[in-house]
Amino acid sequence: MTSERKLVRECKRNNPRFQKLLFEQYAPKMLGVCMRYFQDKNEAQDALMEGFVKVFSNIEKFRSEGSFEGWIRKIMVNTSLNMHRKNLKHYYHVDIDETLERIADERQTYDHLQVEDMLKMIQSLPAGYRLVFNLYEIEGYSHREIGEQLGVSENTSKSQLRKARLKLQQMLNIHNIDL
Amino acid sequence: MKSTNKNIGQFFKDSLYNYEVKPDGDLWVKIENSNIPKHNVNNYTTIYKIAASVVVIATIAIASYFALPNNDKIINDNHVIKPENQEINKDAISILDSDEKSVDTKNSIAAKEEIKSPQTSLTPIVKIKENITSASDAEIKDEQNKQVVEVKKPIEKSVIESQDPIFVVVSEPNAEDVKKEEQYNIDEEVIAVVVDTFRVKFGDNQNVCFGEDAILEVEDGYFYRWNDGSISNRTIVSPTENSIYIVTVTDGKGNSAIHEYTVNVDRNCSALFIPSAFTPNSDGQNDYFKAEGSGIIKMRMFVFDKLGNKVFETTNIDDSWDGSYKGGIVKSGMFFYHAEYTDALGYDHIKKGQVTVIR
Repeated sequence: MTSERKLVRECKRNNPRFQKLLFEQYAPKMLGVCMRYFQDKNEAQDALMEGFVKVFSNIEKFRSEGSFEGWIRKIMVNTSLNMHRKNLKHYYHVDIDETLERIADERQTYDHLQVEDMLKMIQSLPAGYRLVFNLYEIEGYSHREIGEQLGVSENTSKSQLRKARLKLQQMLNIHNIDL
Repeated sequence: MKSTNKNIGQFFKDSLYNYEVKPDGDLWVKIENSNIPKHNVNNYTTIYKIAASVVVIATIAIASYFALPNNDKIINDNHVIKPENQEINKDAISILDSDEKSVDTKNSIAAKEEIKSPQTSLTPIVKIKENITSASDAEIKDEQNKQVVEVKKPIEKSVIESQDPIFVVVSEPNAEDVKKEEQYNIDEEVIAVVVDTFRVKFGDNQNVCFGEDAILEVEDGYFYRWNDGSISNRTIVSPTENSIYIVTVTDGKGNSAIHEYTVNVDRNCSALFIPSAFTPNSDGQNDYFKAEGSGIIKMRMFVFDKLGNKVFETTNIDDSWDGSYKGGIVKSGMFFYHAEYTDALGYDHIKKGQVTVIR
């Protein structure tokens, strides 16, 4: 993208016009990131807003060495996690069998699997599974990093991931997708 | 049990990593109103220092100006800038880096200037410093005195002076309708103006072999809309016949340009065309997955499922796959093909991609 460097430069100078451009350029993809962390769009948009304010106020810290999109994405992920933070300690105490049942009857029929359906599957995971699955599988964090971010042990992260995969596989089976 | 299969993560990542959701329309307004903290722009202090020294130089320059009978319209000093102008000229100030001292004045003077206002020379009140960053042609005109200065690339900066409001007209030769005119009412002695122009460079029309992708690109601009629905500055199309693609480019300020790309498909040259989806449901339409291409000397193609199981293999370009695997028809989903072929000229190619099965 030709204008990325210019965008960054102008945003470092607080140029409102370019701040808007930066928002317009990255908002859809970043909302796509935030959506995976919350069950509804309003919560995700709250995270997106907070994330963008952080992007603008910290942009002078961005050194042009790394990927700008990656940098923004990281801010969005961290902001989303922060919004979950106050509830985190409950997430990992939920009885697993209970949640498994809750999912099982959410049968819906799809002609064929759409990305939107996959997003819904992730959103329908219990928050604890959802965060770990997103961080590990989609964002590419390690179990150690996840443990640090969420304040849980590496083993908890691993077991949550296993359960998240299991649950997603069950949901995929309903839609005749066998991986 | 397959459930712990690692592929499930990859499957979700492939689909969702770049997934986009359109935010609600009022979101930006909310962000704007949430008081984005302003950080300091480092250059400011240096600018003040430069400005201070420059005021001294400017005073001398202006003094000698009155003394000299020959009034030179162009002032070579690029640093005439007053700190008071900071507010109105935020953009301009920020472009002033300390290295501007080294700007070659020969380059920074307008290549061609035309001045028809002799009476302005005695009391130079307004000076316009202009930084043309992207226009290939710019015109600066003082309307009342019909003072017109044309600036041509690669000029980066020029200093123009006038008593009256300055009109800056920037035109783009490649897109006649893209024109920007701004008036600067200046009552300060010295001011800096940045002209940020809209410039678009369109790529060439393309000739491709049948089955080959054409990459259509636009340089610069901010928003893009192609008639195939793509909104990036670059779109990859795989036409099967001669096609025209139209792109509209806008810069966020209402300037826009439309361009048509023609992609000519040559059916006589050989490249392999492989469809991206098919529907093995026996309805008579798109029931088979088949590579197409003329003049292909030899070809070998495999189709794999997500687990890497080979579900189809052929070495004959006329062979097609009906979606069958292990006595049944595969389920809907994504599959991957890998094709190796030798074209009519004897060159080897490998083509890989995804094919979606929709039942």
